[in-house]
Amino acid sequence: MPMTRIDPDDHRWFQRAVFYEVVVRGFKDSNGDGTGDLPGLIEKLDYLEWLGIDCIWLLPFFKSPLRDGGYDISDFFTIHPSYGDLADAVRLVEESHKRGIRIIADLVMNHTSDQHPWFQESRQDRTNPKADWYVWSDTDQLYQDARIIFVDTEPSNWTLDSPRGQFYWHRFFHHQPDLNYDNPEVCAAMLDVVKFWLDIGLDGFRLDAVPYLFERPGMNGENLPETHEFLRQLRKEVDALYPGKVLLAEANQWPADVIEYFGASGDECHMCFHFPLMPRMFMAARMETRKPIVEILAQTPAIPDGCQWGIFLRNHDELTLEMVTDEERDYMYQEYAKDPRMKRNVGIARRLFPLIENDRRVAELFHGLLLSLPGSPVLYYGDEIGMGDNIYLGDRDGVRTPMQWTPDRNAGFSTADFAQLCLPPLMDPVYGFQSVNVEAQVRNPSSFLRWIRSMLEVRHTSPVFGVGTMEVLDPANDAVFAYVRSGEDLDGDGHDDVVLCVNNLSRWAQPVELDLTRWDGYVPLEMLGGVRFPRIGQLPYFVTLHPYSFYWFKLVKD
Amino acid sequence: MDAAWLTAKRWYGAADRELRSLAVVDRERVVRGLEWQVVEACFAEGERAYYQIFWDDDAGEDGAERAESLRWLLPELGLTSARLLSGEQSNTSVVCEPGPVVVKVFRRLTAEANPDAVVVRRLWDSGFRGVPEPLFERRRPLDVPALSGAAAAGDESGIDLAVARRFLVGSVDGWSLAVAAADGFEQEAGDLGRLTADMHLALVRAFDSQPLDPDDTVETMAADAHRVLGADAPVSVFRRLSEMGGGRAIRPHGDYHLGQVLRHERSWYVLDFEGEPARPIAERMRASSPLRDVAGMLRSFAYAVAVAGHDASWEEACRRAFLSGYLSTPGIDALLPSDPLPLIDAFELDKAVYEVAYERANRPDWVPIPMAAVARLAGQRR
Repeated sequence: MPMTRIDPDDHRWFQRAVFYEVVVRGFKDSNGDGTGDLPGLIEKLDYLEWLGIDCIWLLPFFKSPLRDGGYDISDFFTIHPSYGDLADAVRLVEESHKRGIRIIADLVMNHTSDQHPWFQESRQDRTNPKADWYVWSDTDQLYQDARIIFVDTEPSNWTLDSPRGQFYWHRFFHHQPDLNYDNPEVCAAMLDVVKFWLDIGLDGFRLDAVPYLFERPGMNGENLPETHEFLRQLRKEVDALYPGKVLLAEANQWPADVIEYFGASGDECHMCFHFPLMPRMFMAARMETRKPIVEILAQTPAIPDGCQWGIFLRNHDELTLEMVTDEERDYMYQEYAKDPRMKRNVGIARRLFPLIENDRRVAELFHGLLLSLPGSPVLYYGDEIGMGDNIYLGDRDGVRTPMQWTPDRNAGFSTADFAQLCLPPLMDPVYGFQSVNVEAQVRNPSSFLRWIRSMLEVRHTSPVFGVGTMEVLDPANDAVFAYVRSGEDLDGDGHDDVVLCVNNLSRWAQPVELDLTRWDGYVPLEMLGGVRFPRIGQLPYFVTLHPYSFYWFKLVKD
Repeated sequence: MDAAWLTAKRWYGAADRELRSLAVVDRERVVRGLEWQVVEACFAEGERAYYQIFWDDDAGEDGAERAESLRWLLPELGLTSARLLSGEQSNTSVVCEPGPVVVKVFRRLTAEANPDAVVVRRLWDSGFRGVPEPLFERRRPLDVPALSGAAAAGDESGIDLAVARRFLVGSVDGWSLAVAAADGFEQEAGDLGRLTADMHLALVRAFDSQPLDPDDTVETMAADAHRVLGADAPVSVFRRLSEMGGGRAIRPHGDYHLGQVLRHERSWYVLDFEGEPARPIAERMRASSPLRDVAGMLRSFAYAVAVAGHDASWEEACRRAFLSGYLSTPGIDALLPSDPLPLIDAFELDKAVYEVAYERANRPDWVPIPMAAVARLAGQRR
């Protein structure tokens, strides 16, 4: 109803958008109770607009006993009271749209909290109206082919529940029973949830844990045809009533399996996360060769028209190592998780900057990759200022500590007493809020934050990063990762759009000779500074690179 | 949407005027296939009216009662489901979960604040609990010069589109109760009298009061009576008013009768402060004696008796209980002349005169009901 800078007819906005993931609990506390909240996030929208992001992704903010960071929902229609109420959510949507920022939210389809009234009713006996809303069994021997995801805490995917004397199925924590999608009432109820939030004004959902909706004997319970059929139905409903909204699948799977979540004709999810890409970027930088990245890109099939990958460096979960080979996992642990406390489940619970030992050059290189590889980049809150983590906190809280706004008390996150804070802000000499905070970096023109902001500005100047094709070059020096993003006049200026990205994955300076003969006569313009580089000819094009440096060249006809 | 569709709607309310043109002057998509629209109707005399509709393309019908429409209109309420309660002269009411709440979607939009939205909110804020709790009012600046001009000058928050109130589960309206209560309605009538007085005191707190000029009122009422009843109209009933003084004038309910009150868990609640929707808002908001509302309710008892066939003592007992409840409420005497009964008679007669005219035009069989009141009041005072 209010003024908005969102174009309702732009149905493919997500292909060009930069996403920003926010953990509401740790972002900004507006009422001094020690926990971040929606009004706090509203206060910081001006900052996010200044930063230049296009869409906020909110972690679950629904009513929840918070035994799994809100992924254990006990009422899909209510905001968790410490985050605010529905009026705050409405205001958040309105205020974001005013600034041209869209909002998507996490939606957990697979399971609910065991505190959800649906489960409370279902567990009573075997005959109540919701008896069949969850997956119940007399034995815990069914579906033994399904792997256990939270291997650190859960011995089985079945838990015995005494009132009913049966086992219930859970792919995640035992307090998160899986909904039974074989029951059409459950499908209808979840569809109502989706409609409810889209009516409120959300611009879409990140669908949590979608591969696990259905289970069948003799299968591993992931990526079943029934799950895809449900997603097709969901997409159909969303497109019919809410064109321009986005469904983003969290399917931590190999690319050949993930691709299925777009649907054969792009009729399932608009976006999927590309999980395997991220650990390979870390491997490539440590091994000083482009091979891991090039291999995974080669294994990644083309996606249907109108779809997009979501790519990221880090997020609110551990750096997952499920989608790497055993050898690669050992290597990653050895290189990036020297302290066993850094390991969580099958992954490493660390933020970006500690993972790369606070090396500004690597951070810039990684963001250069993130912003130029095919897909829409998803930034994780705090990474834009180089926040650290606290591996001594439980579960994945180590990477969810309060956003560091200022060098003042509690990092400017909250005015509560320190002991009351949901999580302690970082105070160590390297990553602590006294040295790493938004306020200081906004003031300092050479800060990492200001650098990121200018990179986002540059990315927004060319649609080629969002929707252009990708061609990997194959120079002899394999420490250099070079590729061309291009498209046929995407920006409507009458010329083809061609961007050449050249990245040095090594900690030493590197020379590289690139075969650019196809662009004979073009001139590379370095995109950050607009500097003209020597004209491309028939000879190999020679570029030298500082350690961990990269270039983005716009190729223009001379 | 076409003219035939719109004019057939109960809330169109302009059947007596010549419709010249229709245009959608503001619109916004709710979901695909469902659009919120403000429709401007231009009439022969250059008058305009504005209607709020939710046009459902597939159904070729209004879809205001759809959950999507109501969530768009009142997102803060988090409504999960909705079902149509009633369509009335100027609005459509929908019961929604969770709550339950009742959302009243205003159909005829006006530059002035909607009286029902304003009065209920201010009554509640003044501490009066005899209205269903107001939860939310939706206002919006519209892209319509004729409407937003006035809004910009006065209230910048815009045009009233809808209100949400707590839904009283299991409540019954006073008319149905009275008709069914053959064994007597005294207890309820006494409660209703006290509630009515509390409502008037709250209206004074919320809107203030002013001295009532009886002469002005008397002239109008006498002229109406002569017009309807002819030369032998008992206008002396009015004349005594000039001699007595009139007490205070307040913002009244304006259309007070048994159909406008609800009984819920042994308490009464008052609904619908819009007044008579056919009259202009300024006129509806005009101050008048609180005893007009009292007379309206007394007339409503008489109708209940006539329709249900209760005996005469039923009405007499209810009148006595209602008036005694009303007049014994502390503080109410400050609004009334020292002897309020002649004034009540006068307003009752005025109401009966209006009823005679209305029944003659619409339900001639019913004319005896108000005529009996005219005869009674004339006999008493002559």
